Amino acid sequence: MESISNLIESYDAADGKSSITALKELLKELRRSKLRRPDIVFDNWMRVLNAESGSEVWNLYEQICIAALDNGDSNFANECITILLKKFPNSSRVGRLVGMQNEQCGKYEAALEVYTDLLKKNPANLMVLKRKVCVFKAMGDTKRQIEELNALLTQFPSEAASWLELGEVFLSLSDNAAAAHCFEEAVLLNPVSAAYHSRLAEVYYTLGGFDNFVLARKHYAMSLQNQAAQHNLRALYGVLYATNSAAQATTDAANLSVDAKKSREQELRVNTEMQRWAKEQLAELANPTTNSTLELVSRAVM
Amino acid sequence: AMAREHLLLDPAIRDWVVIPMVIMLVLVALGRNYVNQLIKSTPVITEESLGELRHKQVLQQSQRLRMNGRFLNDAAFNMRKSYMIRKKTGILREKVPGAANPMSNPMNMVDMMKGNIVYMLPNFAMMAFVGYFFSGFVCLKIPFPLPSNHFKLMMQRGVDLTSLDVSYVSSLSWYFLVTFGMNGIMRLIMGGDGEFDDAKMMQMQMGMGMGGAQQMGFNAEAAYKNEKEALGIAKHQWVADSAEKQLLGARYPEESSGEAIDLSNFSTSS
Repeated sequence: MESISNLIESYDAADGKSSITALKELLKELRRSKLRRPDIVFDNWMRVLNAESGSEVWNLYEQICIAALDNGDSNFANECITILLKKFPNSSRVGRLVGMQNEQCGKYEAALEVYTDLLKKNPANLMVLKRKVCVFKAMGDTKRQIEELNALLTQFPSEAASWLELGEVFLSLSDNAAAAHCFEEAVLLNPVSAAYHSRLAEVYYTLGGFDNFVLARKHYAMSLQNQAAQHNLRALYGVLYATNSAAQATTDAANLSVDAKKSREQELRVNTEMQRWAKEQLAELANPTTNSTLELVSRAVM
Repeated sequence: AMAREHLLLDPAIRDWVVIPMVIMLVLVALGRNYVNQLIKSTPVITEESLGELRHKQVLQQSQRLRMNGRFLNDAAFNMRKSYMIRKKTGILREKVPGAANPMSNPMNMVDMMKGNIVYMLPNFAMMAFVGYFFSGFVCLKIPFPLPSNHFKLMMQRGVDLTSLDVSYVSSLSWYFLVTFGMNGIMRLIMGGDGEFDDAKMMQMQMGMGMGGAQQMGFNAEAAYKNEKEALGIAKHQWVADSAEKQLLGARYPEESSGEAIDLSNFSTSS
């Protein structure tokens, strides 16, 4: 099974002339990887719908419905929902689509009613709980958004995506300490993710102070351990900034115990070395004879 | 004399006994799977089951903290550890229900009975069928030698030859072999869907029959207690230092005895 990025690349390369089997597989992989590409779905749904059979047809309808909502075509989405309701009259999955359609029209109260109803039947329906959070986010009601996320996370503490969302909400409110807590949970859930370590490091860096700068540097180091420097410029620059700020923050070292002073000095030694190392790595990556600028920039934005 | 030479078995045995038995057992297992799906009652979401879900999640959280805590700094780890087990208000010190008595939940019992009947009935029927129709002859030869002759009574039921090698077994043995191997075959055919582990079910059956003990539901109280103790003794070793050591390699500075850091050489330009 080819990866989704390869499939999308070949689709783009074929430029409108892909075969029906290729399209079928592309849409199927989009469903599986939960990638939202309403443009791809909208351009090709008719051909794939004619070719699809069996129970996959209904998954396809759901995918088309969501693509329609993404494109703002609420009437078309309505048609899809009617078809799905005829086939699955009591389904919570279709109910969620109904709620999403209400959200798209801006009818947030109606959407909330739909979701509350669905939750009455099954209070542990994770998808519907997430939609409730989305409604409050769309309404701009951060207080209720936080409440809903907290309720969701109390029941499902292993939901990494929700922890990330809560972290971002706190950051938007400038509550960096709470945001750090959320990203720490995300790291606990996914300790080998370079992106999570980098995100946590950035929050520590924002909090400031010598200890936090050192924490940031260490998490950037863990991020680099998981994703090598040439693909992880974010963490490399992070190390540079963190070591800089840590060195400049040594002024607040006045009243520390002997042990603390020793460990601080050790940290400063590591600091110096890390900075040197980061500069060397950057210099090597920016070397025009071994790496073209275009390649470097494209790596940085990937 | 003890026959060390190979017995030549009639190929008709292979055509009419060995292969049909496999086909029959596979078909019955498939059919059983579908019947199970049909008669399975949808799980009812109760307050009780929600609470149970929450307890399981808390336990998972604590386990995760123990397993992955080394990726967080000391303060973060200790804060979470304290949140779980501090005196009086730690999450793991909450009062939670012990083992749920399965007898008290009628739906569970009915479900179990349904499962048992669907499982036992065809097994008995097939065992009787094989024992009656396919007895009195040697079915196949096991490729490895069995240690003692005592197995003869079990494996060669109906064939009363004292001099026959233990490796030659009757059809009933073949039946049991295939039944126990059915889980693997099912997983191949159904593609990982087979939650129906025949061998396990049989063990459960025998356990129930012998001890008459009821099956324990999820015992939150005991699990919480175990987790609390495990977390209490968990040591925390932050791996960030080893990450930096790995990146810097030989350049990682050693702990030296208090020489002053010369910050004048530290360049703050990027």
